[in-house]
Amino acid sequence: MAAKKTNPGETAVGIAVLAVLVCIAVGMLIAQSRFDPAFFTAMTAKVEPSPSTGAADSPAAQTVPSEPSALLDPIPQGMSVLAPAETFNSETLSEKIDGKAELYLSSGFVSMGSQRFVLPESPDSWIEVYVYDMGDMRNAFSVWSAQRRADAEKSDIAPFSYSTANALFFVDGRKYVEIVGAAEGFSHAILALGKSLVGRGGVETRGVGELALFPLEGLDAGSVALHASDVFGFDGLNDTFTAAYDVGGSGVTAFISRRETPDEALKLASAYHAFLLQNGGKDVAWSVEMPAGARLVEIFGSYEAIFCSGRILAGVHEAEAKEPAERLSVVLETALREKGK
Amino acid sequence: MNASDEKGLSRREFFIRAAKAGACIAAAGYLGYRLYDPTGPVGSGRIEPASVVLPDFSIPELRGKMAIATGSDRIKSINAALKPLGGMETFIKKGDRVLIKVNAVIASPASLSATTHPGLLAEVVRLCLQAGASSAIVTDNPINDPESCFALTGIGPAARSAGASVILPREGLFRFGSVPGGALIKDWPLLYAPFEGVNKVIGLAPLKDHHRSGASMTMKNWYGLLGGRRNVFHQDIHNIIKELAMMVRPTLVILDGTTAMMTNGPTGGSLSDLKQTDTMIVSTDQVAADAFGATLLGRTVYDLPFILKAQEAGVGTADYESLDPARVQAG
Repeated sequence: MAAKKTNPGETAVGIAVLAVLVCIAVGMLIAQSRFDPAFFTAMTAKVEPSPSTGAADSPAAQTVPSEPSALLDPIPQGMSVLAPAETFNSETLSEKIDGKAELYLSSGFVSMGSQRFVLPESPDSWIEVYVYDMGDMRNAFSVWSAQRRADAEKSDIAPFSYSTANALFFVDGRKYVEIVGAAEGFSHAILALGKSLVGRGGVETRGVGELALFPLEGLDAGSVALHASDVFGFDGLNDTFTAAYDVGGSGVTAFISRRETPDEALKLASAYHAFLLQNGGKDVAWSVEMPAGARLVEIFGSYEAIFCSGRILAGVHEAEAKEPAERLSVVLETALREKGK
Repeated sequence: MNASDEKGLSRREFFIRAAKAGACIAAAGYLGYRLYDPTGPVGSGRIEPASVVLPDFSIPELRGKMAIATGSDRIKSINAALKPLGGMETFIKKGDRVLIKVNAVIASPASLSATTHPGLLAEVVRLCLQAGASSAIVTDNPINDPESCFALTGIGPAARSAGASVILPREGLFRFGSVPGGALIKDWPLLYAPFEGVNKVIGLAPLKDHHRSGASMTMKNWYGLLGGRRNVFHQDIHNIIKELAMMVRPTLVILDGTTAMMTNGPTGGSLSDLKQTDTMIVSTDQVAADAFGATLLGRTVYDLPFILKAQEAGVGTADYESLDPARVQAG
């Protein structure tokens, strides 16, 4: 049999193909020699934000229902985008706000979008917008009220809103919005950003009707807050509104928690009462007329009152003396009874 | 294959070639079968990772040193606090290679006091180099994009301008680490590479409220050395802080309480979350530093269980007065 003689071109192509295969094989051997299976596992668990766009590049972040590429469209006049919009879900929120994520996660958090903007006249500073989708207005109110700053000024941008020297915070439907300036002096720009966001939070599905149940006399209207869980250190008490009162010069906190049924309210009242007694409290007799089942407890020198009005569990927390605890209890119980008619 | 080839190929030759090809395919298949790993790579168990333990960077004869300076100027305060301890020269010697662990956790401006103040960092770097350090490295593993965090906090530019190098976290810098006697930090990814080659470590932390732990101070500052999905540790926050304090035995910690974040920590956001507490704490005992820092936040060690846990673990003492701290007025 006569052997076929290859031409030089075929030989060259063959050698080139073999050389490429050898290079690939060598590369694989080198990579394999450095392969650390332990580290491989760690890195698959670690969500590594990319230098360009931060944690939003992580796979988990990308599973969030997408926000627009710019958080605001159009961007208010005179501002420009400093960084692309980022979105975070419940798994990645802590990559943006660290340990504060738990506050949102325990209050129905769905997603958060954030973006930085810059003003031409202040290129070294910036304003960052955070829009938290909390699922419904009640949750949005909860995180808004839990973080309310002591020296905040009421803002008229939304019913639940306030501003500080460098920031604006408000509830917009199911959204809780923070607009934070890196320094003072951006109040006009912050307000412009806020106005461009108002109305995007959708129609409220679960409101905060309990606010109207608090009697107005002595009420510090800016103090009303909704606590999602572990209220007063008792893990059985959740979804509870608190409000600060001035009772004859003494600061007292009132609380209201609407339960599913009157029976559930009674059981929770009983459990909370037991919790107080287990932690050093002792029952004290009322000096005023209160409905049957109402409890007054002295604990570590302060007074706690607990009573029910239909589905409402209510009471007084940390009154410095018995008299203001009783006075507020009577006013609150009367208001609840009359509004419940 | 052209016509002449077909003509020249005998039946015998065809069977020989077919047999060779079949043998090659069978060999490749057998090799693939033998090398096939049905479970894939694993991080622990079948192949044990080489777990590292951080060295002890403390100086035995300097244990229990503490100074507290009051004043609103960070530069004056840190110098005033170091002075009664003998200056930075007491801790940093000629030729030392120093690692400074800052808090660059988020891309937040210095004005909001959520991160290490760049001006203070620059001064600490300068003092280290002045004391004879041959190098100063600044690092942290932020939760946000590291480049943005180091840039927007001002920490990166401040460190570089003062003569330090900045190490940003990336995959190759992590090693699995464990805390001897620890229950949580076991074969967990640690930002380890920056520690290689250094012989002194300084923790430089801001004083902050923290939603989960109650406070973020010098011990919590080591949290930034953890890689992986470290937020799982928030569920056991006091024990993880204790273990972090067990893990890192620094040469010195500095707690910047010049402006404290009193509420809405650890990220804050409003200037109204801040309070001028005008205090700088320098100590070789991180438990004592945090115990004193708690008082600036209006809290006690009983409000912050990680402090007493760290004390019980032998890291330091919560009774900072027992260290007889030097108290000085800055400027």
